[in-house]
Amino acid sequence: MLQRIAVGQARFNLPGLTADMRGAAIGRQLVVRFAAVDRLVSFLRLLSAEQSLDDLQPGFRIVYARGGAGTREAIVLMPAAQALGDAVAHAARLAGGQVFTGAAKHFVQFRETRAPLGYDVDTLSDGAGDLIFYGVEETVPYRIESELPLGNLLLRLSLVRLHGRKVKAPEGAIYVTARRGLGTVVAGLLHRAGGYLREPAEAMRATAALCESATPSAFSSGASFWIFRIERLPARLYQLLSTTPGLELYLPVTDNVAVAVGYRHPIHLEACRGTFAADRLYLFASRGVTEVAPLPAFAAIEDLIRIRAPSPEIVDRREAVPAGRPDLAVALRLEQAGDARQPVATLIPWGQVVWLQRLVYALPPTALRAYRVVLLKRGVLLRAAEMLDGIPFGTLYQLGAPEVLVPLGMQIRPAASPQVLAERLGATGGALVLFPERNAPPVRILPEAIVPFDRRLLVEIEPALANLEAFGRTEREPDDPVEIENEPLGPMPLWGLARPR
Amino acid sequence: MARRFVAEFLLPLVRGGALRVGRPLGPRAVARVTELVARASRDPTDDEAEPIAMLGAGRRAVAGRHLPAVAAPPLDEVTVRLGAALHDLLALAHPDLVGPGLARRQEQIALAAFELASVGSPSSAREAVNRHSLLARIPEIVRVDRTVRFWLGHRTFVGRTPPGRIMALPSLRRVRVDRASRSWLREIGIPAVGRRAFLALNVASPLGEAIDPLRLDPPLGWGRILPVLRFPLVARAVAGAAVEIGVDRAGDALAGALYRFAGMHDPPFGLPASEESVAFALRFLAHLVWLDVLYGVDPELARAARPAQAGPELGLELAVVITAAARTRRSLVWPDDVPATGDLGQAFGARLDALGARASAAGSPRLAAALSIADFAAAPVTRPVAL
Repeated sequence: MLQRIAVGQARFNLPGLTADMRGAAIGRQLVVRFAAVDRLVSFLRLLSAEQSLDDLQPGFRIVYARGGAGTREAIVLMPAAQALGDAVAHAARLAGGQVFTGAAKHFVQFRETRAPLGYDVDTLSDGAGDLIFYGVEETVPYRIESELPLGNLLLRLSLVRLHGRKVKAPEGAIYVTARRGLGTVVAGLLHRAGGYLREPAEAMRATAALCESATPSAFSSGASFWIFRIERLPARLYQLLSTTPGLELYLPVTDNVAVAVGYRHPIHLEACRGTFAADRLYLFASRGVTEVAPLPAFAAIEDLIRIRAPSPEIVDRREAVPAGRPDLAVALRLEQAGDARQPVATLIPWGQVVWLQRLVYALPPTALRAYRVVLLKRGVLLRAAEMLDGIPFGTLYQLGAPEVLVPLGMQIRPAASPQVLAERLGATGGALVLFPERNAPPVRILPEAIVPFDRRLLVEIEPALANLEAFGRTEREPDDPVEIENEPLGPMPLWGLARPR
Repeated sequence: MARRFVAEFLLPLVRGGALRVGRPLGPRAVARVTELVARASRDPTDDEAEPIAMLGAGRRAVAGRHLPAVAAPPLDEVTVRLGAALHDLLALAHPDLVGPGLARRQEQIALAAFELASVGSPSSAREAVNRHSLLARIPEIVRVDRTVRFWLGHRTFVGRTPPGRIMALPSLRRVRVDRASRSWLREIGIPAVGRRAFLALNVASPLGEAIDPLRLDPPLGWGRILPVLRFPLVARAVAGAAVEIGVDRAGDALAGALYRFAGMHDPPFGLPASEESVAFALRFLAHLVWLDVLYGVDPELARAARPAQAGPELGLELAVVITAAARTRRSLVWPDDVPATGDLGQAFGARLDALGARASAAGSPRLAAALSIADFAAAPVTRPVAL
């Protein structure tokens, strides 16, 4: 039997019940009872729209309990915060649930219009049960049967399809998953599209990672897929990606949770951030949830696109003139510079090579180790890592751009960015470009032709083999791979091994 | 298996070839192998004598890379136990171990491997090199999985050669074989149940871990490598390997491992963290910097020559740790017999200044942690407590 609480009443029969600032009774916990799970889901959806469920932790529990009449009901227990009671009661009423408050195992019905300050009990029930609910009509003991973690519930709920929504490109980031075979194609597409849209304010940025799903067996590989994170995706590409088979688009809800485009989760996931492990990425799709653990390490799309192998027609020491576009391009040329930089290379004509041969005996070991050499038709090109020192003859060269050599005191015009010049001239990947003279076309030298000076310097030396038996070095390095060859284990393979305690 | 263990497992492990993995081995099998080896050493005409001699020659070649003029390592009981432990670790992923109770069986095999591998750290440089001569090629072990496709379907052979009947009539049956070679250590990985045994194996033979500080799994542990770094010959070999890798790169890995070691976050294998061992580790890192000053290129020039997009900057962790050690106690990084006024001393002082500037620019939290490590090495305020 319940009694309404009077104004100013400060003492209550139900343990744990106290009066708040308005005089209304509230316990340390709030409990909401639902007859069916769908009502529970509705309640969580309504509550998560107004209140972050993370703020209710710890202490937020969902349990299944069997009542005295044999009914199995879903019960939500949560700590009672100051302003939470009204929000919970409002959501529970909308969802068809009943709210109680109290502490430990005794809970009395929460305040309502008939009792604005709440209820108290006449006497406590001594019935057996984990929870005892004192209602206006009846007092019901409940026995808890199982617990349903909120995270499990969120992962098990089916997504709700959004009907009649016009597809609109998202404002922020978007995730796209692609089957493994499509990954490089999508990466190439995004890279090309990013190139066309290179406006400073609207530049699309895409990163990607390769993920492998977990497999229950150690002998079968799991399905793998690519995941792309794209920021500022243009509407045209959004249409294309969303209609391409094999690709799935996800809109981020939180930092590590995303829901498939065209669907929404029944519960506001942004209110449940703490439920999801921070080191995983959760992708909610209509067919289920994909957990990517650990968080994928995204790499820039520029680093992932397939690079074509250099054309086999480019051979060593072939002279080539960099061709420009016919409409606007102008030819590069060398002009006198105001000041000369440090020389980094010298081209020694073949006639003066004998001087070099005499000089190497006097060169310090650092020079011999740091210099590299290329044998050209015009002569021997000696390239220093930093500054050429100790070679007083030959044509000296300085850097006009990274790995682009121009005669000392000259500069390349037009004065384009050094990186652009190096890229256009092909001075990348270890290759070297040499402007031999002011009016001579440049020469591209492939990295294979550039060898350390001391290695090229020495004549072929074939000392006689000593008897190495005494030094224990008669065996050559074994080159065969060490390859596992599994043999049949036979019957009772663990016979004779101790059993773990 | 005991009879063929030397010829078909230990010998390919050193010289390359098919590493035959069969029934897991226990202490009794190891005793039988040891007995066979002893019998073969007495009787040169024994069948086992030839593979044992070839194994000794192969191990001598490996050991010769680290200790000059070393004799052929003996095939003693410890060697057989380490080889058998590795065999059992490989057997954990055997394709015949399937079905219900797999976890229990794997646990049983892992326990046997752990007991076999628990021989402790080597007690001398020679012993460390001898053990390493057997296990040096662990990172090179691969497993080739073959999928044979034919007109009626396909069959997969995990680490096995397909039998002849599967490969018969290749044209008529449209037989095609797809091979996938996977590194055992890096790609297949050791099951979690065998992790203790593998760590014990690394404690027993830590030289492979020491000369490859960039190894990802298991992450470098100072507690395991310190017992062998105390031998000057081995320490020189390890320092030489670090210089070959690059002092910045190797130093970062070693310095990063020092945080785990000094913070007592390493697995409970090997030497525990003490003031003396942490100080030794700091001195070893300083030794690498001395070698770099003596034989390396100018770090500023090397850093300037580095492409802008070439990944994270190297040497930062090393700079922070060395700076912390130098600020806490100079003797942690500076030998007593090297004067600060000489050319070498001035060069090292300039390097310390450069490292200090980098460490200060890197931010205070990391430097504060490194300072606490150096404080611990100089004057420990806490000691590990056995619970």
